[in-house]
Amino acid sequence: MPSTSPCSWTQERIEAYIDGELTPVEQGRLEAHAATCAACAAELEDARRLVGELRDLPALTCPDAVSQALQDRIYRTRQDRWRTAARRWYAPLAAAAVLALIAGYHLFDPEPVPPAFSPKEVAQARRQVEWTLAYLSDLNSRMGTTVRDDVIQPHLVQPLRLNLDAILPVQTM
Amino acid sequence: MFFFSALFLFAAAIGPTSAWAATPLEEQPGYIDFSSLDLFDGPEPETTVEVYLKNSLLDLVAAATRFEDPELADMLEALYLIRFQAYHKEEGQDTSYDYERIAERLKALTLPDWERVVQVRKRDERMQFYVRTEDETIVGLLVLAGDPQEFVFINIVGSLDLAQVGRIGRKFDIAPLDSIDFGAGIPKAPQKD
Repeated sequence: MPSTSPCSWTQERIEAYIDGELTPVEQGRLEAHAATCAACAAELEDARRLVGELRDLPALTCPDAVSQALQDRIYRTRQDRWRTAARRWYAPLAAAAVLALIAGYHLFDPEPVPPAFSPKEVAQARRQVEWTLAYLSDLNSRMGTTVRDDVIQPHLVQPLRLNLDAILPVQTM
Repeated sequence: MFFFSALFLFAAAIGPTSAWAATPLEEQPGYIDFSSLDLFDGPEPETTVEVYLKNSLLDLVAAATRFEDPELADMLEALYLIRFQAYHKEEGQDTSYDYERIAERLKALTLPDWERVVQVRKRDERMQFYVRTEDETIVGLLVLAGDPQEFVFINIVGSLDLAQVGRIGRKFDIAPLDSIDFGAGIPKAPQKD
């Protein structure tokens, strides 16, 4: 344990004593020494007086111009900090975002990238489309003819005509 | 600056999700996967004609015909798939399909989502038209046609108007199925108009 004189120990702690920052044991020790040491008692008294005088000073109002200048300076300092942070972080962040976009579209897109087709393949596809549509149309037409000849004509039109002939008198010119 | 960065990061985050939102062809309501239906008894008969055009190619055909035939281009742009499969049986070849059985199986698999709008039976010929509708719009067409020698499936996926299909189809001529070769060397089907 380093040996220090009671006077130097006391004078190192006078400010802390005035501010109430000492432990009760330290506070008791300092007061006990000041009671027996005139030099330390004088130092303590000076410190108390200085603090009292500072507290008694009148409160001054800061001029608006000074306040405004101070606020501007604080704002500029904050902006400078943001810019520095931006230069440091935004470029890597932007690069990461671009990579995420590219990776997202290439890794997770369920639709494969459309293959490139040659004009020959497109022309062939067109022939296939036309042929399929023509086949469908032909099928539809054949079905229509079948329905007309095999269903409507024998089962609807002819019975209706026979009934009408039986009901209505035959018109002779 | 912060706002733009946040926007950028947001775009990066939603990019992949918007891609996920695109519905795959197999999940389109009008899609029928013939190959998974196991329609044939024994070995599958030889396919004589197979057309399988997905929307990426249909869009290109639409673009190619836009000036010449805008109605056809409009129709193709609304489609996801045109599929045509024809099977032909040579005389003497073992019959590996039975139209009635296939029709019944297909009917069971497509009900209740699909509606059979037409069924025609004339001598050996059989034809069935099914449609699937959503919000009063046809989103899928399924055609089954067959006779003892030939069997045809057609599946058109996407928003379509049957009257338009008939109107456009009448403009083109067709060749018999067994003479069709969709290779590069075939002559273009002659047009009526």
